[in-house]
Amino acid sequence: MTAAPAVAIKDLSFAYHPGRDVLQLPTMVISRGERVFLHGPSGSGKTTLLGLIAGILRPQGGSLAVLGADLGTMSGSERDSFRGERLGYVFQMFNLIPYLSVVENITLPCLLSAPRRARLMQAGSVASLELAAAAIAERLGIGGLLGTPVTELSVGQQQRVAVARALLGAPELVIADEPTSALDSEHREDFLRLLFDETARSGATVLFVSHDLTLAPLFQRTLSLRDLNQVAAARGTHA
Amino acid sequence: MLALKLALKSLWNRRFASTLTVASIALSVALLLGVERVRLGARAGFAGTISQTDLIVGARGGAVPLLLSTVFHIGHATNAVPYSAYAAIKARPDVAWTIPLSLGDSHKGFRVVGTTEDFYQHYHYRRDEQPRLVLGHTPQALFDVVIGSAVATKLGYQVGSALTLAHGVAEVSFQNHTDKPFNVCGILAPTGTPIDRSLFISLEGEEAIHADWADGAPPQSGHGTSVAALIAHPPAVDEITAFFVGAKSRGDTLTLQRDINETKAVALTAVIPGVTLNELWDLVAYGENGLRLVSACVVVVGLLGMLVSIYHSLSERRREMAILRAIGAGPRMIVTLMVVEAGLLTILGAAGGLMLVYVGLVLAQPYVEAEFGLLIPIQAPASGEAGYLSAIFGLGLLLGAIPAWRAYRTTLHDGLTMRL
Repeated sequence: MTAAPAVAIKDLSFAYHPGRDVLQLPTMVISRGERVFLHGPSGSGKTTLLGLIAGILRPQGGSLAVLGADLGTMSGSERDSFRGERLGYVFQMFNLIPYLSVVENITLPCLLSAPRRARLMQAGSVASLELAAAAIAERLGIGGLLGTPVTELSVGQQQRVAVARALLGAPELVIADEPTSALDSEHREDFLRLLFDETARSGATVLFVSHDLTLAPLFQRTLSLRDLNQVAAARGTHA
Repeated sequence: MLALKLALKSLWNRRFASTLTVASIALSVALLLGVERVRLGARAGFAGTISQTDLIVGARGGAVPLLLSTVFHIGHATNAVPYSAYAAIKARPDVAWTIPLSLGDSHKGFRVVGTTEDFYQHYHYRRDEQPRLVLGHTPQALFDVVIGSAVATKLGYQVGSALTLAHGVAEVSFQNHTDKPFNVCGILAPTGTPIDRSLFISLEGEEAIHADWADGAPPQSGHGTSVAALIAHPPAVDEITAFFVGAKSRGDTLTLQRDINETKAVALTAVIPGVTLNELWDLVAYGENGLRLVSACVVVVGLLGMLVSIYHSLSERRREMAILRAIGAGPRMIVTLMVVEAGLLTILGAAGGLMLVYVGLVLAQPYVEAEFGLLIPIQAPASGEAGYLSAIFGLGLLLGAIPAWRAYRTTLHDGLTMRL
């Protein structure tokens, strides 16, 4: 199982309305442990592809295997459990549940997914979920903010909390959807360094999506969704 | 458990709106339960006004008017019972005791009851309570009067006060028995029944104030028998309004009732208080049901307010839903979250309503008892109320399912897209 790539796509297609495909991907493979920059300007099918990989959307044609799991054959709730257990997801901004504290936000995925929690407790030498959250928060430089209401955090702090939440419980694939777009350039690199450090510790694969190519050199490989997606390529007029 | 914790935190985060929602549910629940309490209290109070009396006998007429006029002092009987007919029934071997009543006069809006010592000995209310004098004694002299507790406090009378009675039972009477003043000889303890609002004189006293009356009109002034003469020679009682009967044994009651109703010589009606009370309940049930219906509607409106509040919050919470989805919450979790929120609001509202009822009872009970003679007991929630509360809870969950369904649809549609 560990030999299976993080993402393996073959002839994947998806349409919100029958006959109007927004995504046609002949092939795309991301290996385990890779740090991939996916360049996806708006209109390139980025949102759709991430929805498919995260298991929110159901593939309609072709095959999609994430971490060896064939998402096309799984039910909606199976995909939800799969996502909760094995993926980490960081949004562009507003990542946090406003009515939970920092530590509650970080531990929430492990509370929702029993396997994820079990894996965390087994793997580490941690005594409790809260201690594990405190440890990762410490490494991300937000150790002093655990009890703070999330509404009092700066954008940069919020994104670090989001990373801590996405990484707690050692997910094998971390998807980051433009997580740096709200940060200034200096904080962007700091943020990426922290993300890479943490994913390197657990050996997680990183799929980083952005329309901002200036960050691309920091990654091992860059993919362009506009080139990969036949629908976008055919439209071809996007500047 | 996680859904419960999240729902609680989410509600707390919107605590102003949540508090308003809970308050509106609490008020509506309090109204429903309060109406129910008052209804049951009124019924119990009404039913408890007369106990141990097996029959009420009056001139031929309707059962409900007879009960109302003799026990509750509402309305008045038009015809009288000849004293001889009363004496004949009193003498029957199956009759244990009787209480004669002579009604028709009043004092400043309070009813005057002419009766005998039998009243103080045999009248019972609330199972085995009896009218009890706190001051003075029962009427011994012709113009003695015993007054109920409300009469004493409202009018400020004490033992020894003099008062005149008015003919008729209207608040304002044009015919006052000013020529025959009465002397307060005793004051009764509060009973929580119409007794509190009544004055009691002897049958002879009742007869005496109407001495020399002809065809319902008083004698011309100066032409009546003098008070001194009346006291020297009390007039004979030749008729009364009605009387209460206690049978020797419960089994005799029906025979007694049939005998009285079938007496050819005098046209009498004998009713069993409990049976007639039930007729009365049937009568007032329409009003009660109307009142209940209105308060049930108020509860529905309160819960609809909650529906609106939750539904309204959904559009602000799409981001939150997307985050929950991203970290592995399925649509089922989202639905559970919504329904649990509705359930929590409803439970808090219902509990608040119950609390309001008790606070209201503690605060209003003395006033209501003093003002309306209605004692609403403060007791643990009855099984009927538990039924109401579970129905409200069920309805709350059901209504919570509506925003839950919308949230479910929205999450499926939005997925991980952040719509701001």
